[in-house]
Amino acid sequence: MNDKLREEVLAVLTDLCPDVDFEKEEALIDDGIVESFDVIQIVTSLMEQFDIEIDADDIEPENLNSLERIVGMVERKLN
Amino acid sequence: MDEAGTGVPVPVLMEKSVECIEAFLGVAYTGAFYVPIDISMPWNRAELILNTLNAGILLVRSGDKIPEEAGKGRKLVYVDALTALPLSPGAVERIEKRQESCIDADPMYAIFTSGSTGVPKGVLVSRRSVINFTEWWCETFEFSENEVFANQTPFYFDASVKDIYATLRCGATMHIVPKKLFSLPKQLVAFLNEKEITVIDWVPSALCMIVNFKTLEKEKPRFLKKIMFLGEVMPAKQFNMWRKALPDVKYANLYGPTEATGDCTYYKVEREIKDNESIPIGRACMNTEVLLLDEDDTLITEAGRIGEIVVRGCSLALGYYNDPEKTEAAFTENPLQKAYKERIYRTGDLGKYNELGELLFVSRKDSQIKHMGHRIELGEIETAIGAVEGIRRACCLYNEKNSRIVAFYEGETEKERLMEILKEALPSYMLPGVYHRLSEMPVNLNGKTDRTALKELL
Repeated sequence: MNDKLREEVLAVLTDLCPDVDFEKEEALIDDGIVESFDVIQIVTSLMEQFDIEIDADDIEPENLNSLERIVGMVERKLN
Repeated sequence: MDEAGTGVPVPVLMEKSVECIEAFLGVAYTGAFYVPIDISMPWNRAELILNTLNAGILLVRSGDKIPEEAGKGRKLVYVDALTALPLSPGAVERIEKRQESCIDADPMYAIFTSGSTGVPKGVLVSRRSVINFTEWWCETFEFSENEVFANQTPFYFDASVKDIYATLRCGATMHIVPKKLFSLPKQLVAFLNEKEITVIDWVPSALCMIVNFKTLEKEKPRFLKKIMFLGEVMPAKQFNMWRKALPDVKYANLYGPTEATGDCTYYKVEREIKDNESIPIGRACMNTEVLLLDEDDTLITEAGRIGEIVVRGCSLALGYYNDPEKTEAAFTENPLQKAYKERIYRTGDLGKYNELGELLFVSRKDSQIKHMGHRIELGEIETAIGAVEGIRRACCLYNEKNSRIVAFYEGETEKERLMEILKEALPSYMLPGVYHRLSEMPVNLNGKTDRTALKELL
C-alpha cells in the first residue's frame, strides 16, 4: 500500500473526526463509530482532496469500515 | 404509574421503538406528560434533564443499555414487563378520576432543546397544540391509511411528533429507518423501496446526501409521493435534483421551532425554484399566524425588509418547564394587540418577504445555529468547554462552508483531554469538529471575546 497516500487519507479523516482512532477501528460504519453526517463529510472531503468521483455505489461499509479499506477505495479511484 | 397525574412529567429513556410510542401514549392517557430522552445522550446531560424534572419514575425498556445511575433516587419502570402484568386493583378508576381533571390545555409532552446558559430548556407542548397540528398536517397533505412513513428524526426531536401522530391519526404505517442507513445512500433508497415508503419528512442533509452521490441515477424510490423537509435550509440546487429525478412527487418546505409544535409554516413547492434562490417557508399552519416584526415591533409587510419571525395562535407551547424567566423572555405580549393580552413567541429567526409576497427564512438572530437538523445554542457548548478545569475562555463559531462547529479556547488543557470531557457532557451532534487552542483569546474594547477576529481564523 502506498504509505504517502495512507498518510494523506489519515490526515483528512483525523481532521474531520479527531476523536476516532482510525489506525485501530475495523468497523467504522457497522459499529456506528463514525456518525452518518461524518461519513458524508469524509467522502466529500476525499473527493475534493484527491479529485476523485465517489458515488452511491462506493459508499458501502466494505469501502469505508477501516482506514485500509478507505485508502484502498481512494487508490482504485486514482488509478 | 400511580405516581403519574395531570401536569406531572414522566421521562422516557429508550431506544426508538414501538415500546417507546406505547410509553408516550400510556403517559398521555393518565393525564401526565412524557419527556423523551435519548438513550445515546451522555449521561451528564440526561441527568441534568432528569434533575430539572425531579421525576420519581423513569420509563425504560428491557434490552436497552441503561446507565447504572439511572435508577438512583427514582423508580425504573420497564414498559415491556408492565404490559404483561395484571392491572392493580382500582387502577382503572384512579386513571379515570385523573382524566377528569385533564384538559386540552394540559401538557402532552416536553422536549428539551439546547439552552444558552448550558442547561437544556424543556419546551412544554399542550394536547390542544398536538391535536390541532395533527389535524392540519393530515388534512393539508391528504394522508390516508395507505400512507407509509419513514421516520428519520429522533423521538427527542419534535419533528418525530408528526410521523408518530399522523400515522396513528390515519391508521397508516410507520417504519423507523435504521440510523446507519443515513450514511449509506444506496441502502437507504433500497430501504425506501423495500418498505414501499410513500412519505418522507426528513432534515435536508439526509435528502442532500442521496442526490449528492447520484443515488437516484441508479435507483429511484418508486413508491414516494410526498417529500417534506424541515429543521434546516434545504438548498435549492439539491431540491432541483430531487425534482428532476422525481417530477411527480409533491414537495413541501416546513418551518417551525419546537416552541410552535411541529411546524408553524409550510410551503408547497409548486413553482420553479432557481438554484440560487431560497425556498420560501410559506404561510402559517391552521389556527396560527406568523408575523414579521422590526426592531421597534412594527409589522413588516413589504418585500425585502428583514424582521424577526413571530408566531401567535394554537401552535404556541405553554412555555419552558419550571423556568418562568426564560418563558417570559421568549413568550411575550403581542405588541400589535393593545386591547387585550395575547401571547406571542419570538422565534429569534430573521425572515423577509420576497417579491411574490412569500415568506423566506434569512438567518438566526443570535448565536443559535442549525447543525445536522438540531437547533444548538453555541453558548451551551462554550459553557461546557468553560467548565473544564484549566480552561479560561472559550468561544464557538459555526463554519457554514463545511458545516463544522469550531471551538476556540484559552487554557492549559490539551485538545485530546478536552474532547474526552466534552464527550461525557454533550450529545454527539453538539461536539465541535475543530479545536483551536489559543495562547490568548482576542477581545474587543468591551473586553468581550472578539468573534469577528476569530472568524478570520476559520
